[in-house]
Amino acid sequence: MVAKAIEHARHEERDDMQHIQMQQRLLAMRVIAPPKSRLGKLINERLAQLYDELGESIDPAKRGELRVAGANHDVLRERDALEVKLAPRASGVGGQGSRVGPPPPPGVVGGGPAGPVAMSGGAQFEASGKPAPRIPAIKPQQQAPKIRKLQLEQSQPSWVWLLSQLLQTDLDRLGVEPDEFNDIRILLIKNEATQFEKLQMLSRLPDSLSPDAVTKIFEDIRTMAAGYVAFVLVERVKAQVQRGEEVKQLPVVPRSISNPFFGIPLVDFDPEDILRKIDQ
Amino acid sequence: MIPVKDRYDEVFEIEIEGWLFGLANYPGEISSQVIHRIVRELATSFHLAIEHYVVFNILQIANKFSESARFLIHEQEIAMAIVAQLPNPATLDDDQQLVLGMVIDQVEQAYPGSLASFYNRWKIGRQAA
Repeated sequence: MVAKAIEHARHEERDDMQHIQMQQRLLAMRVIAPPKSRLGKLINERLAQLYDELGESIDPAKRGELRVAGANHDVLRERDALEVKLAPRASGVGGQGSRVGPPPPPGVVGGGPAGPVAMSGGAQFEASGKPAPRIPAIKPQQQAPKIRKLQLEQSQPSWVWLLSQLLQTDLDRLGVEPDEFNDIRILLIKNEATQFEKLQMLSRLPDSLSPDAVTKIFEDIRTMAAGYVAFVLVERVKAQVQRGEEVKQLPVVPRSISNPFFGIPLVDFDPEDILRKIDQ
Repeated sequence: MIPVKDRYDEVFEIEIEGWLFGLANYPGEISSQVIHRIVRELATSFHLAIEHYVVFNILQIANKFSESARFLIHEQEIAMAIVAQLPNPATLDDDQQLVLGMVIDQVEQAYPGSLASFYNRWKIGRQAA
């Protein structure tokens, strides 16, 4: 009984994780897909559908954590509506359907990707027929120093910048301290980069993000070394043949290049012992 | 001078040249981690070279590696990394110990103190064993 319950819980957890991963993939895709394109619309539809599914199926205890990732659409919509009705926020960072930050980079239609809140804020007023409340513009001195710094540093738009803006809104909503901000953002971007690779949108991860970067470089160098050694050995044999010498034995290939297992001691084992264990 | 066994000096030379070719032609940046990885991979080759009485020049090899890596890693660092991969003298016979001594002597002359660190290393190894 207990085992079944545990298995059921695990199954649910796995489903939740799949949903979250799907959401992350969609968010990542939305960053690069033009919002008005067919793909962009499809992504938005799928995201909305996903939010609805999550809102219904997720355990209430987990809602807080999912809301951070922008999953629980309905709860956020209610909260945003309340906030808009009560008073506009002074800081204005990450709420009410407005995206605070640098102006949209050139080439990005519609001001770049909008987070789940950004989509929901104005949409609900349009649906109800009421005009959306006017949100006061935020003066530069009201913005957080980090955002201003980002604006200054960001000379060229990139998907990392867009993604960081998207994540920043989520982190603001979570109430993350500014000193933890950057570390978490880096982690999230790394995670998103992995998703990109899975989607085959990037041909490979940046070397700095890949844990196996050294191994890959090493194996590439080994391959080139093997090519060189093969060429040299063939040339030597050819020269011997051209001189009319008899090639008595094949040239010795250096083991460190031809055999990566060379030099690693073997494990001592007794085959009879293994056979005995199998028979038992 | 002890004669080289099985013309292993030629094999060793081709092996080193192969790695140098790979390093020199790698399009990206070479980090010290990559160089250390290659030197570790060559550890068995150094053992074999000494077993076949090949007196190789560590300084020359280190210099070539450094050059192939666009001088991003200092040759002294590479030389010390190679010294760290040399076999334990306790496992070698007299002739092989002589070859090892000749190999290390070049490094000691260029970088005094390397012999002492070499002995310390194997002293620790013997205690642990």
